[in-house]
Amino acid sequence: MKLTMSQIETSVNECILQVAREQELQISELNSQKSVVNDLGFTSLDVATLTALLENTFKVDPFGLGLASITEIRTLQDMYNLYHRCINGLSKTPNPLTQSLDQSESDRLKKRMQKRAI
Amino acid sequence: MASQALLISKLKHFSLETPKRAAFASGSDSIGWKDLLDEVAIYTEKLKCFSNKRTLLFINNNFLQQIPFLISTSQVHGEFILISSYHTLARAQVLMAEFDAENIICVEDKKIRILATRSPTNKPFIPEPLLGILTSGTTGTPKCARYSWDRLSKAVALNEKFRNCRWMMSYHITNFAGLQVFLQCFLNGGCLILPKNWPSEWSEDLEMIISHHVEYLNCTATYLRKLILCMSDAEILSVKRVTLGGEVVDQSLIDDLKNKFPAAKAIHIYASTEMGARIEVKDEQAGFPINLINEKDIRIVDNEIQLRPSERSMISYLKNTSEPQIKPDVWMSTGDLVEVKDGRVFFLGRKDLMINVGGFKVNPTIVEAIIREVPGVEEVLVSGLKNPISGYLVKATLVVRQNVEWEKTKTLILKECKKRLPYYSVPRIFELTDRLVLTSSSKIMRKA
Repeated sequence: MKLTMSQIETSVNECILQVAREQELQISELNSQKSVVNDLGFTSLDVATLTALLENTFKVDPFGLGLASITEIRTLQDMYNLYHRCINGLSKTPNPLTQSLDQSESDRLKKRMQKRAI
Repeated sequence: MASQALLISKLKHFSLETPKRAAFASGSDSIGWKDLLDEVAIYTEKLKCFSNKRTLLFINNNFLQQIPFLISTSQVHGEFILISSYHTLARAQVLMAEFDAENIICVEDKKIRILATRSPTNKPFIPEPLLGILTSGTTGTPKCARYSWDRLSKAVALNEKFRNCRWMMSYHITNFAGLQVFLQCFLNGGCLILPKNWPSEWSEDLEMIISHHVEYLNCTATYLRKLILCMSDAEILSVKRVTLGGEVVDQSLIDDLKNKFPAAKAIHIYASTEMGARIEVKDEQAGFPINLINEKDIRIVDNEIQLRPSERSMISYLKNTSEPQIKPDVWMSTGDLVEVKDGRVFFLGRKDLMINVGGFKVNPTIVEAIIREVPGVEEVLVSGLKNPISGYLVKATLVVRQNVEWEKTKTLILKECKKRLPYYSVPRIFELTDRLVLTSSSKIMRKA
């Protein structure tokens, strides 16, 4: 099933807020340029939890599949893009607002796939 | 007297003394001692063609019909591996090949049927009637432990006071604990109450405990917790003794047991299919006194219990295992982790169940005990969920009471765990389910 970028953003944000609630982290606001670790204060275990919740939500695990490395995902926007790409496939026309980020993400994914092929 | 002879002599004795009295009962059905003797004689005759062979015995859920069949195997010079209906016939065929057995047989409508047959690679060495008992498989593929009836009966306490007493069978008859309860009751001339169905329904079992005035109840911690939930506010006065085994027993369960069964003594046993029943704790406290660690046949190395085989232990594993074979005087690692506190040894769960969260070891048994104390939680299983970042995450799968507000319960669980556990042990992922899957010995299934 394909999802719009806005649906993906909503679901990712819900998962982030769930982790924050359970770990008692105070988050004033979520915006796409916030860093998961530096701004939201997520530890690596929190990020791991987030990926598990997202896997459960979207039924896809880009990290487990080797499609992305967690160190490449810094901002919420990186996360939205990654799941957008995983769910909707590489051929989907990107949202113009996130095109440049999508492009860099796409390059990263391509490189990774090439490396894996080697 | 060898135990297989003891079995038949006891059967003859009780059938003369109390021919009509029930030896086994299930629901409103029962079988008296004399009828049992006659049935055993018929099956023994029919089973003779399986002498000097290794045979898989498929035991179905009609325990009342299966018991005479099982007893008659003690009178035949063969090796019989017990397979419960938890396994399919296809699975039994795989095991038949793995254990190099010749036949799979079962009894239906009092007739013995051969379900499958093959040519064994080797002729088995069978010095006396033998039973093969599969380990419970809580953590994976079962192994087969070979026992003589003599070794199986070594832990049985023979006492006239048990004559005609009623025992409840909460285990499957094919596993080690089930056979122990069967022998304890049978050799003392008691009446064994068998579940009507398998897996048994706790409400039905509870009904039978009440209607048959059961005096001795042997079960796992999980089984007892379920039973207590079914009882709601009721108390049961007929039960004189509850013996817990197979899983870690905590103090809160012993306290609940004393409240619900006010006339019962609470005993817990440390036993394994391979090593037999080894420690019996009668002081109604969790754990056991440190002085039982005698360094002769039980010791603690790196927080793990090690045992030396005893006369109650199996003879050997059967084939398909890379486990070291049992030898007298050689210490065997049990995989059971313990800690010593204030002169007592407390079980912490199994070594092979430890969850590795980013290099930290998390013991699920400890996490489960804390979660179980939270109001609204009925059952909990803590396991590792594979994760590409942290290796594993701690996951709690729960059964909660109806009408429980889950978000509030989860907040309480998190609060309690954060207070009492290091951060990496606190569950990160929660899943609700209707019921947890149990093994044939009523333990929570740890791996699919």
